[in-house]
Formats: sequence, C-alpha cells, structure tokens
Amino acid sequence: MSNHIILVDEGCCIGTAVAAALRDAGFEVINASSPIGNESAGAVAMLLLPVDIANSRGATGRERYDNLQKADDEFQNNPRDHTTVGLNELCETAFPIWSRQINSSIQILDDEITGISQAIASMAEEISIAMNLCNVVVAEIVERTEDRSDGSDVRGKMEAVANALKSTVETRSTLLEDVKSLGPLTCGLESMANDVMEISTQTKLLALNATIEAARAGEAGKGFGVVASEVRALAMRSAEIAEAMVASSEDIQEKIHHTQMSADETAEVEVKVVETSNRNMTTILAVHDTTMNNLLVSLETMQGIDTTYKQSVSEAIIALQFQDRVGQILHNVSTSCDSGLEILAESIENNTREIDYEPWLVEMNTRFTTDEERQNLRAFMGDDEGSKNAVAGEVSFL
Amino acid sequence: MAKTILIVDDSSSVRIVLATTLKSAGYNVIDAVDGEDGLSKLTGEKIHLIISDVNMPKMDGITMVKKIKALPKYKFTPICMLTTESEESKMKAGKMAGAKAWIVKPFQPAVLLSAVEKLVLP
Repeated sequence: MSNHIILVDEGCCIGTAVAAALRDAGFEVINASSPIGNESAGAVAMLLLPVDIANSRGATGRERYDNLQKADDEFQNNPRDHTTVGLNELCETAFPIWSRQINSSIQILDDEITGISQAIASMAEEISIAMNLCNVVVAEIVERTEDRSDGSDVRGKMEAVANALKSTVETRSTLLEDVKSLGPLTCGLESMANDVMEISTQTKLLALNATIEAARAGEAGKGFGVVASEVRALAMRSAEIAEAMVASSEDIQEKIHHTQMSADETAEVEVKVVETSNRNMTTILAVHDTTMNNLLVSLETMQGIDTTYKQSVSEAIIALQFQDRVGQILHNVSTSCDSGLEILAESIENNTREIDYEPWLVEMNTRFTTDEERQNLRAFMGDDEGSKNAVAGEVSFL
Repeated sequence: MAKTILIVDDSSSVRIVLATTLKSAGYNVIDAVDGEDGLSKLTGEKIHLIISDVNMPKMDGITMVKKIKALPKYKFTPICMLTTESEESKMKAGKMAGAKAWIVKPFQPAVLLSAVEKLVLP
C-alpha cells in the first residue's frame, strides 16, 4: 500500500489531523518542517513524492535529505501539479474516514442528548407533579386555618369553646344568686306561719271562753256552744298547718344553704377550669399562629423554588436544542465531503488539471440549514453582507 | 378536554423537549419523525395544531404541509413551522404551502406556548 511518501506540515492543527489520517491509511508521512527545513515549512502544506524519488528508507541521511530537497525544489517550481495528483489519493483516503467519524459523532451526539433530554423531561415532569401537589396541600391547609367570617376556622372554634365555658359559668352564677334570694323569702314564710300559729292559739282561747259562756247560758247557749266547738277545731287545724309550714320552711332553708355551699364550691372549680382552658387555648393558638406563619413562609419558599425550577427547565430546553443544529451542520459537512470527493474523482477521471470548486460551494450553500453555516461560508468568501433573516426563538406569523 | 398537537421532527431530543413543553401546558401530544410519519398520524382524530420541522428525511416539512392542506379533514388545521431555517425565502415557501407561523430554533418555551395559544383551534 505504501508506495508514496507524503510530506505534511504538521505545524498546524489541520496538518496534524491530515498526517494522522494518512498514517492510519498506510502512507508514510514526513513532517515538512523537519527534514527540509524551516524555509519551506510555511509553503508546504502537503507534498506527495513518487516512491522512486523518495524511497529513501535504505538511503543515508545525506541522500535522504538531498532527495527530499530535490523534491522540494520541484514542488516549489510547480506545486499545484504535485498537489493535484496527490490530493485524489489523500481525499479518497481521508474524506471517507472523516465522513464516517462525523456520522459517528452525529450518532453519539444524538444518542447522548436524547438520553439527557429524556432524563430532564422525566425529572421536570416529576418535579412539576410534586410541586403542584405541595402547592395544593399547603394552600388547602392555609385556607382551612386562616380567619373566616363564619367562625369555622381554628381560632374561631377555640374562641367559641372559651365563650361557651364563660357563658356557662355566668349562667350558673345567676342561678346561684336566684337561689340565694329564696332564703329571705322562706324566712318570711316562716314568720307568717308563726303569726298563723299565734292567731290559732288566741282563737283556741277565744273558743274555750265561748264554750264556757255557752254552758253558763244553759239551754239558750247550746247553739253558741256548737259554734264555739267548731271554731276551736278550726283553730287547732290552723295551728297544725302553721307548724307544718314552719317545718317545711326550715327544711327549704337548709336545702338552700346546702345548694349554696355546693354551688360556691362548683363555681370555684369552674373558674379554675375556665382560667386553665383560656391558658391552654392561648398556647394552642400561639402554636397554631406559628405553624401558620411557617406554612406561609414554606409556601413562599416553594413558590420561589417553583419559579427558579421552571426557569432552569426552560433554559435546559433551549440548551438541549443545540444537538439539532450541530447535527444538521455535521451532516452537511459529511455530505459535502462525499460530494467533494465525487468532484475530485470526476476531475481526475477527466484529467482536469484545475478543479472548479465553485459549483461545489454553491451546492453546499443550498444544503445549509442554519445561519451559522451561511455566516461561516460568507466569512470564508469575504462576504460580510447577509440577508436579513428571522431571529432564533422569535415567532413570525405568516 | 385537552387539545391535541401533532409534532413532527427528525431530532429525537427536539421531540422530547417540545413534548415536555406542550404537556406542561396541558396539551396532548402526538409525535412523528418525518413528513411521511406525520401524514400517517392524521387518521381522522381532531388535531388542534401541527408543529413541524422543515428539513427532514423521507419527506420535508414544506411538502408535508402541502399534502396536509389537500386533506379535507385537516385543511383548516393550523400549522407552525419550527426549524433552524431562518431565510426569508424559506419562510415564503412555508407561507405559500399554508403554514401559519414560523419559529426559528432554538425555541423558548414561554414564547412557543404563547404562539401555540394563539394558533391552536378552539
């Protein structure tokens, strides 16, 4: 395979790449700046030497240098001829390799970016679901616990319980006062009963005197005696009732006294209960307020994170689209390599000494799909004027 | 009822980020890898919007738009081109074919969704 030695200036990036590709293809490559000298390094990009001239593996260093110097002189005199002849083999070897490497790069880029895109999309979807869920839960908690006009909030309910307890104590206190007011009334009743007993005693004495007077009157006083006897019976009955009234009054007073004592004891307990309840409710409401504030702070923090996250996802979505642009550019480069090779082969076949590359450039231009490609070509051609195209990301309604 | 958008692009990463953007806004998404695949997805179901690339293998976006406009069921379906192409001549070709909007990649999600909201069928 190695029937030619190719002289390449490896002092530049392209020269290094060309030399590497040629060595991979089996050519022997000599660094132009090394054996020939620096005076020719700038002029020689690549020099293909016929094997009979440059087959100097067995030659001495001096012979090898002379051969190369001779070849270099020949190249300097007519470089285009040598370059054109060697370029075909170079391109036939290097272009397909470059093309395959470019296509491999496109495939690797596509696979990797697709994987990253899929991962980011999944993460974005899961984070979005989680954030929405958190927002709903926090908003629901805040709505449930915040002040409401109908008193259905936590604070309202707690205050309602406190008010109910306070109201119960007040009602019981009023009831106790009413019970206390019964004491004097029963005393009055007892006094009235005593009066009735006094009247009954006097009536009995009166009836006794009447009976005596009726007996003294004899037959004429018999009727009066019957009346006196009935009056005496009524007086005795009145006395019995008065005694019962006094007894009942004393019983009532005793029960009122017991009730009053129990109520006083209960009132003390209730006051303590209300005080304890109020303290507990104050503590609970303070904890509730703190929790509420923490929830609101958390909600604000989450909203901030949500905004940042959406911005990050948006930026990632924009960034990930570079693969599409780079893929198209690389694909066009690969296609241009293939078409360039075809043009070269055709020129060689037709023995064309000068390759007309203009049609190739025109064809390449028609394949461009991005502004970057067109700008690069314009820069190469020294044309700064470009058509006014739409700006990336903007929407044009047609 | 969520609206359905058909996205047509030969780049899998663009299809993914585009679908993610549209789904986040509540749209149903159907995807296709080129113009031919895009046409095959028009099976009678209502499509509220089509977003298509221009440069694709097998059938390019402009050709697909022309064919869609010839389909009675979908001739009024709005089509938005989403492409790296920014040349005015290409945009004119898109307009002649029947496209309603032209967005040059890379798209910004918020801008794209705003345009989609304006274009999508009720």
